[in-house]
Amino acid sequence: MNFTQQLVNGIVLGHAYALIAIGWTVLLGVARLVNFGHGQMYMLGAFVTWYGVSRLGLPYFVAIPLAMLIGVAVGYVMQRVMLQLTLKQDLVSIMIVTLGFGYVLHGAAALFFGSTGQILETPFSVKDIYWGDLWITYQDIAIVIAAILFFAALKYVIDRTRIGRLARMVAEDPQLAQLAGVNVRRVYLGVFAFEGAAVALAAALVAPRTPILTSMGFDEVIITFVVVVLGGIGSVTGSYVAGLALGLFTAFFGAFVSPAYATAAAFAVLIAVLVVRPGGLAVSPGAR
Amino acid sequence: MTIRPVLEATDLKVAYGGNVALDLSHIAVRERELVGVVGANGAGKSTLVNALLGWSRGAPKVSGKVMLDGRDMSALPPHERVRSGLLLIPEGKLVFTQMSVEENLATSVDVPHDVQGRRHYSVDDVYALFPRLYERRHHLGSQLSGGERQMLGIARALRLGPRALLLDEPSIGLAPRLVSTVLETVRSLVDSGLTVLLVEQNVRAAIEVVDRLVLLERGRIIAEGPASEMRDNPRIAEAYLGAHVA
Repeated sequence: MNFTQQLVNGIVLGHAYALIAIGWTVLLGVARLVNFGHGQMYMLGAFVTWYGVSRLGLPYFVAIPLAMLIGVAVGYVMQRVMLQLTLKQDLVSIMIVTLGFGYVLHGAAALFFGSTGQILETPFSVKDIYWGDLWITYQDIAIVIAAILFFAALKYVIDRTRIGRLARMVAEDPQLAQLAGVNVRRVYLGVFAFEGAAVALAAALVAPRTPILTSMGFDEVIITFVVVVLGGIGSVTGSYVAGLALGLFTAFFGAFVSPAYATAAAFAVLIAVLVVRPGGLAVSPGAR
Repeated sequence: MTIRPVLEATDLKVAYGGNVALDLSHIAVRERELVGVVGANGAGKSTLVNALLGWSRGAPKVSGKVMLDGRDMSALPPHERVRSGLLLIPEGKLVFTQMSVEENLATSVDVPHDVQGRRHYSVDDVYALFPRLYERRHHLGSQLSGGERQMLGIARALRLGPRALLLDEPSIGLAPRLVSTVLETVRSLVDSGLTVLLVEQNVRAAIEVVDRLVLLERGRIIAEGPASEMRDNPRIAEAYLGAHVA
């Protein structure tokens, strides 16, 4: 086993996981909501990017914002449909509705894009760097850089800007936020739209690493769930750390033991962590 | 000439399930007036101020008309009423506990500066009013004492440019010395031009600062009048001021 290669793989995988999970982290942190259609939104982001690049002939950097725009629209429509459930915080119904939304997205995508596997080729995915035994693609480097920039920007927005303060007010107490003149419905809509954009960005960057299928999405939801819970519900920093930790764990477990059991082992770690630290790995409850 | 009240509600009715918690035909607060609403637990005091703002942590059925400066607020959601200048400082959780005092005082929505009758308080204004908040400006809301949270709750509302302020039991949980400090601050705000509806269980303290007193029982107004006259009202004197009425 090449230790350095596994370390690089783990870092890339970790940043990919963190990027895939960030939309859900914000959704949970601000609106205390879940979205089990998250994986299918990831799939849609990947396919819209692929369609833009392969069928419409758009440059990759144009296809990415297009996928994000579609993600925003899907998130917005989803939240409009279940606004009343959101305001009542009816979590069971929201789980079922979002799960159903995921299946609708899956069906619609299969109808539009077909059910055969595709390869999302980008200007980065075909360029490799070899350094001794070490191998990495430009796409991997793009994932790491984009994830770091995205998390840093998000942390800045949440901690330092008015829009971030609005989100934190709603996260802490939506009723009290109303008394400060905050339109809570609009914040919820914004958070869902953000989730759609974030997961589409993640898909556009991460999906070129593997073949894409309209039936994918389940693994992404599971990864997101583990990252979000490990990182501490709603913690942006916690999600980044948890994503990275999960990526490194998966890479090394796959190399030392077997990739076939990596997901099961990740869940074993999740259970162990939650027994010791019910709030996840975040430094303190409510940490951002 | 009749002076139009700043805040007025007519036929205001609130029900939880089938239980009517409030049933008022009319209540009004005039310009620069401090009206106290008193009554026993469950009389409907908090229900009244919450209904005026259309706000609740529960899900009551509210009907009736609420007017602010003659403008019908009834169809507006709470955040729109707040932006129109009707501010509520609720009982219980008053501040964002995971934010610093400074962040609590930073307005997160645009407050119109050109509306007549609305006074705008800068951060310096509220620090001048509550110097203790300036000393604690870097502390989280969760690190403040009950009195400091009450001050921050009022200061937060002032930052939003109130036309009328609804205060729900500001004395609850405070030491007696702090109760009079808070109520005197409210009085000084009214003297400087604010219009306030104050819900208070501590009748003895409230009657010292209010202009008019309204007595609620089981969701209905059973007595109201100038504070000086209400002090001699047998119901008030016996039940709330500890006087023995022969």
